[in-house]
Amino acid sequence: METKKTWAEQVIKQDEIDKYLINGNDFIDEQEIFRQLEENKNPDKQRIRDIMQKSLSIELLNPDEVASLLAVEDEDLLQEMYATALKVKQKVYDNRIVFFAPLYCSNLCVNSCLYCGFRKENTEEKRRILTMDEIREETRIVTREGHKRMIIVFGEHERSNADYMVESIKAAYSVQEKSPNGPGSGNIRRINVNAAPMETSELKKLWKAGIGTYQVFQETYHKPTYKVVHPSGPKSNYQWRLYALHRAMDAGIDDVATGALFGVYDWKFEVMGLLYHAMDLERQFGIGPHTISFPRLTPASGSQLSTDSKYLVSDEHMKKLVAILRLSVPYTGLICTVREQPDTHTALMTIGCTQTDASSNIGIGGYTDALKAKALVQVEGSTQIKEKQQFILNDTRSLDEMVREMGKLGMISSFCTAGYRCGRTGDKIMGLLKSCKEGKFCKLNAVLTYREFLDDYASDETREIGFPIIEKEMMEIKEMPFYKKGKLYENFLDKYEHICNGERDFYI
Amino acid sequence: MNIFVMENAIFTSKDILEISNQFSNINECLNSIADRVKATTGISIYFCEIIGSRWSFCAGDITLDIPEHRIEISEKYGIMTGEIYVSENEWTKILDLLKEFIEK
Repeated sequence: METKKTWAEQVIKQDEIDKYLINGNDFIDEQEIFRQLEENKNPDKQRIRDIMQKSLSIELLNPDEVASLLAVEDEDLLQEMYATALKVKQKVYDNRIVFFAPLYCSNLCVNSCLYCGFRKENTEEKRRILTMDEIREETRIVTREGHKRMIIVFGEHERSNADYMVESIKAAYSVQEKSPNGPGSGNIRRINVNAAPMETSELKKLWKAGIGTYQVFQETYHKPTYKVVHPSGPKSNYQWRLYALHRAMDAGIDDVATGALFGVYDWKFEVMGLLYHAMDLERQFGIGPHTISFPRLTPASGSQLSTDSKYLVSDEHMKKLVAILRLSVPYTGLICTVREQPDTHTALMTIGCTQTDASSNIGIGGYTDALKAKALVQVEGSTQIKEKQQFILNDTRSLDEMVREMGKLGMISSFCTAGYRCGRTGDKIMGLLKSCKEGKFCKLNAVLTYREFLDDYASDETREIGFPIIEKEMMEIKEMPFYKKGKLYENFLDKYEHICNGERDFYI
Repeated sequence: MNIFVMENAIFTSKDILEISNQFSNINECLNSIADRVKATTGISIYFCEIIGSRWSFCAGDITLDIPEHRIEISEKYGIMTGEIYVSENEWTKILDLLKEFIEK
């Protein structure tokens, strides 16, 4: 008698893997990566400097070049790499840091990932899936902080399928919330999604719901390790995950994001894996990843691997790998999360990261719970409940504090969602990033959205730091030849004036 | 610069019909229309597919780096344009033609 397949057993569609393979092989050739790491382990200084020059020309590095950077141990040369990484970032993205908030909708999961609190065998985890009313409430709290971008996260489960995701996205987009200070009201203007790999027809549903970026992390590119840490469930299929972003591209989602969970396997190998991923997306679609993330393994409920892995990455190596990613894929956004300790987080922001979350709560219903807890016990800061979240956060500063911190470093915080609303997506934005033109728009939109934040959400201390930054940015904009083309500068000033007068959501 | 001449019928609904008959793919049609608009008026445009608040580039002048106008021409499509070199009346006629094509 034929037994009926479970939902999880029906997730993978082999033909939606096979169509992307080259002569039956995927793009991760482990032996080739090990050979590249071995053959480039003693690069001379001049070669490293030549590679850095190539990065400054905003060109994707090749695997041998990246392997050479990974071998650098010389302290002076490392300092040069950090400085060059920041220069590359400023050239492509200017001086801004984009903020977003995560929203975890469900921790129901059919997988068994050894590093994750959501894994199905974890009986310590309190399982929950948010209703649409709860999603709207969570979104209201996030919006009241001043966020304009969210990434919605789902465990892989029948109940949090693509249809549930679509409803969640619509619910979050529908929220409009009065801002605490100014005359304006806020809303989430761009929703990105972090969800399990899906078939193309399901991804099309997300596309039609108006998502920004679709994000899937490979976790580890090393196949034997992948097999060990993903023992069962759809996630145990390495290639299904490896081609998740390819299917998204075919579904029309032209902003895709990759990442690896550092600490599961050797960090140098993972950097090479991320590079090969970017290269294959470029080869097959002409569009590289919109962002790359590099979360580091942090303690998770019921996960021994999350504390005992022999590949845990030190702060020093973390800094190095971020700089190398910046140099390797110069046009791509780099996301640093508040899994990092505040000091490390700040250090990583100054070597080329472009985005971060802030005031994050990753428990299911965590923003609402934290608000209730605060009201009850009158304590400051957010509350983390280990049994309701995927892992533990190390930096729980509020968005206002984080914006202030970036201001002290001379960086402008941006809540820009303009590119996504002006057709600067997919190959269009890739072209603008590679030619260093997108950063010019980033600069303008950063000023417009920073001003909104300062007026509507910032504390007095943050405003004190923020307004001189706006003045400095406005001076630079006035002087830069790029903005003298056409009516761009006049257009910008006009929009800025509207914002100063209390109107909202102007962008270029 | 004003090289768009309506009375010479450089850019008409008949031309749009011809373009749409030439290509089976919508994006190829839109590319051809954008080329024709550029050739006849000097105005750069690119088309975006509208999905919720997302405007996703789909066809047209990919070299248009500094758009000046963002115009919704239907529920599903919008255009970004460079500087407009024709009179308001002429530009309205062009937009009507684009809307006519998209609606078909």
